[in-house]
Amino acid sequence: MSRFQTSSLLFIVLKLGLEAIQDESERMGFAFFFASLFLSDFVAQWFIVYSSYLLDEEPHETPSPLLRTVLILLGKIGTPVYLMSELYVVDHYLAFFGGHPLQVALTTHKSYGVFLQAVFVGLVVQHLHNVLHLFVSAVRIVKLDVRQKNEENAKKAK
Amino acid sequence: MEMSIPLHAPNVLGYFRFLMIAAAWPFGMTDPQTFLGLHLTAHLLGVLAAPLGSLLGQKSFFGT
Repeated sequence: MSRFQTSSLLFIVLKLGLEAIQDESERMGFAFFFASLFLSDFVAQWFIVYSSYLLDEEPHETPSPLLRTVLILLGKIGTPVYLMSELYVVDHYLAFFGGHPLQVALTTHKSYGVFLQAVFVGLVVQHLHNVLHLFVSAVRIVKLDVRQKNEENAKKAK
Repeated sequence: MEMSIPLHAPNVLGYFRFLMIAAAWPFGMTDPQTFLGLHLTAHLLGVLAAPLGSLLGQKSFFGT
């Protein structure tokens, strides 16, 4: 459900950007950026669930101890990082409503600069986590496929 | 008697979250306060789902 929620917010921001941004190259850059955020989130989550079901293993299981540790650590801070990442998108969303009390209250707050940096870090960590998970999940699926094909070939050779 | 999985508390919260996100859509382009209010409430329900699932023993391999 969190994926649906994230996608819903990203699509609204994307639509607002496509309607409000006049400059063609800026609009393209904006669309590419938010479409990439959606793809990173959606594809990574799909691969995590699919590979875990297929292999009947926890999503962070990988032969590399370093990757496994990094994924476990990122998993432990997953909820706050996810919320920071969402707030980054919310900040962009509110930017399309200049003058709205919520937007004014946020942007005129004395800690707004710190907030922006924190949510940007949240966004970067969230999507690094997604890409790492996507990589690990894809490798897990490929390894399973290779193992199954090798077993089939060995049977045929007998 | 074992409760059926679709009726587990975290799943029921999930249905409410879905309805809230769907209800937020019409306000997305015009009313940021209502849109974000519904989104925030859906987030809070999402945060509650995991501990509630653990508390009620309604947790699965992928969480709830």
